[in-house]
Amino acid sequence: MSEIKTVRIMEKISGANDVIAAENQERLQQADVGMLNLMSSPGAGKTTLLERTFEQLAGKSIRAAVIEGDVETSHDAERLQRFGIPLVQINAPTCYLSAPMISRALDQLDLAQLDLIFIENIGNLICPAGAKTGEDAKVMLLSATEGHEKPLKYPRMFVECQALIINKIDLIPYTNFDLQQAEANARKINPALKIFRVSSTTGEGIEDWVEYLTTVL
Amino acid sequence: MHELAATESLLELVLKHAREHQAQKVLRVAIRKGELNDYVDETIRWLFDTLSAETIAAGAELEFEPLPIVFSCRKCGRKFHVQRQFFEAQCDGCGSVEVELIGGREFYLDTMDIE
Repeated sequence: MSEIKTVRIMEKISGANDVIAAENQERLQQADVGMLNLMSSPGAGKTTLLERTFEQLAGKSIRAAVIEGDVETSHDAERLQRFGIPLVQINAPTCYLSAPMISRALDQLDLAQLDLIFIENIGNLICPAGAKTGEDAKVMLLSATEGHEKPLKYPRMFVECQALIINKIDLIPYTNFDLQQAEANARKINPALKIFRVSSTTGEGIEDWVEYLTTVL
Repeated sequence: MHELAATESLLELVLKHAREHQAQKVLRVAIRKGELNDYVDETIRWLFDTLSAETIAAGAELEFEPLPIVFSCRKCGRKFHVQRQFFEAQCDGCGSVEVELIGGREFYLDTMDIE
């Protein structure tokens, strides 16, 4: 019989992801490029928000690119192609985009020609929340049709975000969504959260959001 | 299922340390997990069983010790716990919302029993 011994390790699990996230961040800082990690449930309106965003950015001298994550298809990427922006499609049967995936996507972009990169993460409120990619800020989209109690149900996501976009506010009259309650719930989890009220359909609130983008650069 | 990448990292770490200690077998793995993590213990257990099947960590028992969600108040310096289901980022001493999350995100390999 050999002796059983207990060894103390105290080492972070998934540390490899964080190491690569830090490398991504370093690389972006050196190239003076900002990166936002856009997260939401499926169907909250990430791609439509980006369409409205690029319409506004066209008038400003901000050169943007998108890293588009989808389990299947390139439908979202095709919608964004008309803006003529650099676009990297990541198709993977995954529930979130990891730092190594973003690292490979960055390889495909000419960082010297960019100011801002949007990551359109996989639609999911759990898995992307805890994974660093090297972004400057995590931004979450919550659509009015999802309900105002979401912050209380998915605390980690709201803890990790710097900004929250409440989207589809034009639909509020047709739902039981309580905007004040949604904001109160989100601030209960994260008091420092920057909140934008937006309708990507009518364009309401897009200007404030685009203004915010200039502050992350 | 974000547990897959986490479990792969865990197994890699376990095997690395087992090699460093010249272990023949890993019997128990103790993990500390902050309550803000959305990893499901049972999912990690069965993934670990599957992934470790051909290794010296096969059959190892996984133990999870939860770590509380802790805030530190920037106003009065108080440190306080919150429960996940009653999450509120507000100091229970002075009422300030200028608080910083200092515990709850942890996810690390604490100790291993090897032979």
